[in-house]
Amino acid sequence: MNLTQILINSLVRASELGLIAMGVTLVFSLLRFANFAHGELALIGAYLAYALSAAGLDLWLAIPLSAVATGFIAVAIDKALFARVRTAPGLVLLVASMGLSLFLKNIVGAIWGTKSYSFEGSLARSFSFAGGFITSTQVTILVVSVIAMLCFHLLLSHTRLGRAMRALADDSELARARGIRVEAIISRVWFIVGSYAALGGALIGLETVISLELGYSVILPAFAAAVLGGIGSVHGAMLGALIIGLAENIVLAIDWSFLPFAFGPLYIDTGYKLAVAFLVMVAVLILRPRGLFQGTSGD
Amino acid sequence: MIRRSILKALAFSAISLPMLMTTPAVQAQDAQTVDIGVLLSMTGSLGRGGNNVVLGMQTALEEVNALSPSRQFRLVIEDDESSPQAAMDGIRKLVDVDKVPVVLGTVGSATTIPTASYSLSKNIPHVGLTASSPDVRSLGKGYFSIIATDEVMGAALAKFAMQDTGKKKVGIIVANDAYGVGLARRMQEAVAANGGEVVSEVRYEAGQPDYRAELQRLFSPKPEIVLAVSWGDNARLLTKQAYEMGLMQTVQGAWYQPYPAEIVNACIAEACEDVKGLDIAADRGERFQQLRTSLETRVGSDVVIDWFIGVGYDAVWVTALAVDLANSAEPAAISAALPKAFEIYRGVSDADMSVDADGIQHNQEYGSFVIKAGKLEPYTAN
Repeated sequence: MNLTQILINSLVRASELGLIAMGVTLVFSLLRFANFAHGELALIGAYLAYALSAAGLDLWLAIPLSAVATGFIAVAIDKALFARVRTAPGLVLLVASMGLSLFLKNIVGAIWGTKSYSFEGSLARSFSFAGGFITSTQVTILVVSVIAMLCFHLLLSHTRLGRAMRALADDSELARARGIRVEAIISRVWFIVGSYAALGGALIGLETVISLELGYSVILPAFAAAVLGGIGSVHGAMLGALIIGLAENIVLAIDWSFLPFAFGPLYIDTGYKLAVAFLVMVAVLILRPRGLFQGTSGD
Repeated sequence: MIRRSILKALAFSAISLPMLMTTPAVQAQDAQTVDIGVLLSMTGSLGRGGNNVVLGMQTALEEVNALSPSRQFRLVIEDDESSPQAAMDGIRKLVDVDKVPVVLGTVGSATTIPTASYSLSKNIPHVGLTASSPDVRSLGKGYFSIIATDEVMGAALAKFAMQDTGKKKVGIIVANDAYGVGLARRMQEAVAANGGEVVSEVRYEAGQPDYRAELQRLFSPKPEIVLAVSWGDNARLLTKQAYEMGLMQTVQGAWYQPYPAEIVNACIAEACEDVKGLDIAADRGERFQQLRTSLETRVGSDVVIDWFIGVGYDAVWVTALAVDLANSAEPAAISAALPKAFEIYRGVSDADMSVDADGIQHNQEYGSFVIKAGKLEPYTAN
C-alpha cells in the first residue's frame, strides 16, 4: 500500500467531491431539503464543458462557461419547480428532487446519447512525488478546487451576500423581517451551487470519463461528505469530502487477505467505492448524527 | 430453384467471390420473405461493436438478397442497450411478438447466455455472434457460435505474448464478467503451461469512471507482460490512466489484448502505442476482399473492417445458407441445417467455420496485430 499515492488520490477526490458537497449542504441549510438532483447539475456541467470544448473552445474557457450556464439552469429549475413547492413538507421536496434527477439525466441522455465522452487533448504528464505520482491534470484539479473553495469561503464570510445567506440559514423568518430579499438570495444561492456542481463535474470528467452515471456516482459520496461534516456546514462538507476521499482510497488499497474466508489476495473493486461512502454516512448518522462540525446551519 | 441460387454462389465463393455478383439470379415462382431476428447492443458500452455488426449484416443481406430475389431476407433488429434486462425484453419481442424463426445475437456473453436460453426454450435456433464465454457451451442443442470460445483465444494470447517477449512474469487485468473471467482462467492455465508465472490478476467493473486502484494492484508486483481484456470506453480509460500513471511505459510493447480492433478506435493513440493482440479477422482471403468491396460501395473506403463487421457479415450469410439448405423457414429445419451451413461456408471470420458438437466454431485461427500511431497493423511476432 503506497501511502503517498493514497494521499494524493484522496486529495484529488476530495477536491472534486468538496465542490459538489458544498452545494448539497448549502441547499439543505437554506431550503431544508436534500436535493437528489444535485449530482445531475454536475452531470450537466460536465457535458456542457465537453460540448463547448468539442466545438473548439479552449478547455479552460469551456469549463467556466459551462459552470455559468449550469448556474443559470439551476436558477431556472428553482423558479420552475422548487419555488412552487417552497413551503411544502421536506418529503415533497425530496421526492420532487428525485423526479427532477431522473428527468435531467434522461434529457442529457436524449441529447448526447448513452456513450461516454472524454475531453480531447494530449495525455497528462505524470510526476514522481515522494514515492507516488501525480499527473498535471490532478495538479490542475487541486489548484482550481482550492481557489474555488477559497472564493466560496470569502464570499460566505466577507460579503453582504454571504452574511445574508447565513442569516437566511439561521432563521428565514427573522431574515425576512430584517428586510433581506429572501427569494433573490435563494436565486443567487442556486446559481452558486449550480456553478460549483458543474465545476466539480467537469473536473471529474477531466480526470476520468463523462458518462450518464456521473451524477449518480457522485451524489452519494457528496451526501456522505455533507452528513459527515454536519449537514448545513459548508466548511464541514469540505472536511467531510476529504475524509470520504481518504476512506474510499484506503479501503480500496487494503489487501483483505487476512480475513478468514480469503484465499489469497483480496481487494475491493472500484465498483464498490460507493458502498464505502454509504457505510461512512450510516456510521456517522448512528454515532454522531450532527456530524463533525455539529451541523447547524450556514456556518 | 431457390436452393440452388445461394449454393451455387457459395460454390463460386471459395474461388472467386466477385463472380457472385454477376451470376444471374435464378427466378422462382413464389416470392418469400424470411425474417432474421437480430438482438444487438446498439447503445451502451458495447454500442460501437453492435453498430459495426449491423453494418456487416446489412452488407451481407444486400449480397444474399441480390442472389436470391425469390427468397428475400429481412433483419428485425432489437437493441439490448448492452444490458441483460433490456436484452431479455428484446428477445421476448423477437420470439413472441415478431415470431422470427432464427435469432442472431448478441455482442456480449452476459446478454447472449440468458437470451439464447430463452430462444432455445421456445425452440428457436440462436446464432451467437461475439459471445466467447465457455459457458455458452452449456446452452445446448440449437445454439451455434460464429467464433470460438475463450479457451482458444485465452491460451493463444498468453502463448503469443510470452513467445513474443521471451518474458515470464505476467499480470492479468480483466472485466469482472463471464467474458473476462473466462478468458483470465484460460490465460492463467496457458501461462503456467508455458513456464510462466501470473504475478497479479485484477478484475475491474466495466463502466467505472476510475481504474487507478486496479492499475496499481496490477503493477504492484512489477509484471513484465500485461494481458488485458477491455473494450471501448473501458479500454480508453485503462490505457489512459496506465499511461498517465507512468505504468504503461514499464511494459512498453508488452501489453497484449484479445481483439485489439475493439480498442484501436477508442483509445488515445499515444497511450495505446505498441499494444499488441490477436484478432479473428485474420483471413484476408477472397471473402474478405468481397466484403471490402461491398463496404466501400455502401459506406466509402475509409471503413476499417474489424471483427464485429466480419462476424455480422458471416452470421447473415450462414443463416441464409441454412434456410437455403433446409429450403424452409421453419425453426427446426433451420436448426438442423445450420451445422452443414457452417461447414460449407467460407467466411471472413475464418475460412473454416465448422462447428463442434456444441455448435461452437472450433477451428479458429488468429492473426497478430499491433497498434501504431492509432492504427491497427499486422504484426509478426518475434
